[in-house]
Amino acid sequence: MNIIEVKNLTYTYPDGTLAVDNISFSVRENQTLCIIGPNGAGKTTLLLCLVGVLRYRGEIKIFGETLNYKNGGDIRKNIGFLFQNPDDQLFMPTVFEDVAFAAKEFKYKEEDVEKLTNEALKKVGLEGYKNRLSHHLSYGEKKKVALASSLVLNPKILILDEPTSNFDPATRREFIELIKSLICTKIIATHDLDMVEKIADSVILINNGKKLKEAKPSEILDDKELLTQNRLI
Amino acid sequence: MKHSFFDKYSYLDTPIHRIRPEIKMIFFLIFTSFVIIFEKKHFIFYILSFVGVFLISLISKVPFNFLIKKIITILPFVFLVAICNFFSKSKNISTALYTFLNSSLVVFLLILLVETTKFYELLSVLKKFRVPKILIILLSFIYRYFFVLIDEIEKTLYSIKLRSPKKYPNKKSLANIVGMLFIKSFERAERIYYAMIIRGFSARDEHN
Ligand SMILES: Nc1ncnc2c1ncn2[C@@H]1O[C@H](COP(=O)(O)OP(=O)(O)O)[C@@H](O)[C@H]1O
Ligand SMILES: [Mg+2]
Repeated sequence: MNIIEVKNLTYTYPDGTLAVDNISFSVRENQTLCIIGPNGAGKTTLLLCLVGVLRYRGEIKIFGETLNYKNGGDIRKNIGFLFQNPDDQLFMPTVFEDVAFAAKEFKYKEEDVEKLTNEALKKVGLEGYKNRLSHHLSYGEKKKVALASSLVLNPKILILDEPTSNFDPATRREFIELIKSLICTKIIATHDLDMVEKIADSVILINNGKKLKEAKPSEILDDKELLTQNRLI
Repeated sequence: MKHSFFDKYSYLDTPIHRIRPEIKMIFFLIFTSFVIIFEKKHFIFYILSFVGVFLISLISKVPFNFLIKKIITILPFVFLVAICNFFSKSKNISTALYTFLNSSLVVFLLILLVETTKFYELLSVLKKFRVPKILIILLSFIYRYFFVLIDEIEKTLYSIKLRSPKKYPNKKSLANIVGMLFIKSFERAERIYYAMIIRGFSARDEHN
């Protein structure tokens, strides 16, 4: 079953930049789709459209429902989103408050909030971090807390924006394993081809806002000419 | 980077730190109201209060010279208030002096409150006192992004140092830098807002 269906998605920034140009694709349940493309290709913009925070043109259906600016709230309960920069995502003073944020906003009971938050922190391996301050954490820790904050409601869909950028090699490997171990539908924007090989079920290559190719990972990763043309190797 | 110039003593563990934040906050509010309502008090009150401040600072291990340092940065503003008061209302030196003493006292206590209570505990007290949610979120933002902004400014200053023979940038590039900080902050604010609505935030409900 297709959990996400995108048809003729187009987005133009107010200053006239055409960042996403007529893109269509679909994702099946528990599959991992990687969206690859160089810097400025339009990956982040595309992801923000998928959660309905940008007013796009075209059609996005999630769980068979059309996602628009108004009904976004209910659908978003089932979507976790990891920003590229954890400082954009962690805005509360303590780790607990940050991870609990979505659970509180969706009006869960207090003991459930506590339970969900603990579970989410456990998933990312930061059980003891509840009362730590977000601004005292290292980059890797911040990124894990940010991931916990998007996992707190056990979303069916996880959207990750360049999850492995800025990591040291060991932390990067751990983080990839962590993402791999989560069972849900994943959409990952990246130019980390090594991760794509490890994690993807299918790959879409975009550049200048346009979809250039959709294929199995091995097929795209072997096409060195295409990758070179699009500044990915 | 180190971030501990703001509430660096709030993580100590002393009798004062262990007092419940609600009690500290209520004491602070009552004391402040008292100071404001009764403008002119006997000089013994001031002596006792300042001795009290000194004792609290001693017990809570918040160094007295740290307090003095902080208060000196705020003093000019307190002084300004006193002067305004002098020219607008009374033209009377003693009123200005009282304004000055009252304000310094309140500021001293405010600093002590912040330095002996963890910031998120203060916020949770405000929540208990039914302060609107939007205000509490705003306060957590100011606290959280204050550090991010300082980071950003620090990085900018480093990169200037590395690329210019002078220690400080000239006026024109300073204007550019401040402008860039504004734009960066604005764009960050937009991304944070997205991060909030993705996680179900709605500004309309008052409490949670
Ligand atoms: N807020 C914005 N206003 C105008 N143009 C933008 C904005 N954000 C991104 N863009 C432009 O949109 C294009 C796609 O950007 P983005 O989605 O961030 O790419 P990627 O995430 O693949 O690096 C780029 O050309 C970028 O300059
Ligand atoms: Mg991006």
